[in-house]
Amino acid sequence: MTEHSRDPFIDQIAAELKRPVRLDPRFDDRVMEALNAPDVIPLHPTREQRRPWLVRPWTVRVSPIGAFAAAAALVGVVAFSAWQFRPIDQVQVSSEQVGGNLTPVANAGENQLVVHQFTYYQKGLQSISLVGEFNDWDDDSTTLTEVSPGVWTVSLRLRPGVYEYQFILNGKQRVTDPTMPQISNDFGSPNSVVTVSPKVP
Amino acid sequence: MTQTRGLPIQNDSDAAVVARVLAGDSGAYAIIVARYRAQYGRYAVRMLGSREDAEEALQDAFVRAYRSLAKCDEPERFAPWFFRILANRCRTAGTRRGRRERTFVNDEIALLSASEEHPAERAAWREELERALQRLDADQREAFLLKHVEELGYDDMAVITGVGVSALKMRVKRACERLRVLLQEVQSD
Repeated sequence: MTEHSRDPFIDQIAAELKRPVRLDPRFDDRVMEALNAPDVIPLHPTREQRRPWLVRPWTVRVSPIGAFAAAAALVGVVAFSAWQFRPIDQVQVSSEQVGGNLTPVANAGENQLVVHQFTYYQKGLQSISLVGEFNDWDDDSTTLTEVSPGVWTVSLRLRPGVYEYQFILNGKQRVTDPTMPQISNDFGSPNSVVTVSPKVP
Repeated sequence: MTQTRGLPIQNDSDAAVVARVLAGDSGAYAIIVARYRAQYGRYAVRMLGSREDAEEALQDAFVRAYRSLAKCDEPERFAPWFFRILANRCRTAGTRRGRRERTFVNDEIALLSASEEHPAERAAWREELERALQRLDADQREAFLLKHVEELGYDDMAVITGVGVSALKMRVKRACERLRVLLQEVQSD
């Protein structure tokens, strides 16, 4: 038995909310079908699942008009790329991290992906992950690396925009970036906010 | 014995089922889904105020848990580990939806009231309660449900939410006060 209110009014509310709810009778089937969706990484991938693009035979059917259009598009892409990438965009990892946990380290131009480095400073941690609007707040998708004692970093390629995020320390404790602006989320806890700007020509 | 898709759901411990899944019997995961669907479905529905959103969050949580099953360090404590994933999915769903008006499933209220002595009054009360619950701030609603409906201790709540115990106690207290105010009029009728 956990700590519990002795308030009859609250108990009445709780009793009401403990009533079972109805879910879709096919819910279990939907979950099991979702496990086999192509974007779910299987626990025991077959060779084909690991490298489907390598081992699956391809069948391509193209009409003469389609082939002509594809060829024309390919020529256009090659020509555009040759013009667009005259100077090569260079990614420069900034070593200057004073007071800033987020440093734009490269820009690829407007509407293109911009590399940002997230940094968190604390010694004695086992792990740090980054969650935010850019990774659907997924605890598992973005892990920082301890590049030197107490210095954890990860670089992401983001489109210009404003993003809310948090760090998760040791898989449990959610914290904000102490050097970035904060905004209160719906759960009363703050999120850090970063503005990713496009490169100024 | 309760069965689902031919799989017994009461015999094997969570740890045994998790071991089977990790050993390659992915179909055994249906046991986990059947075992926790009702309890955590209820939490998601109460939290999000919409059965459709709740099913989406719950399914997403089951898929994410499956994908990360090898990281479940204490498979015998699968339930709290999974609950943490679900709570995060509900938070994400709630944030995405913003303050869009929630619509509680009235068919459920009607169904539950059909066999009662004063079904219309009970249905009205439940509707008011659901409305009041959704008017709470999301952090207060979460804390209230974890404490009073799921009957978790504050230490477990802190692990699930990543929020300190004292802050959680304050949220529960404020949620109770707010519910009392919101429902006072209905209760006095």
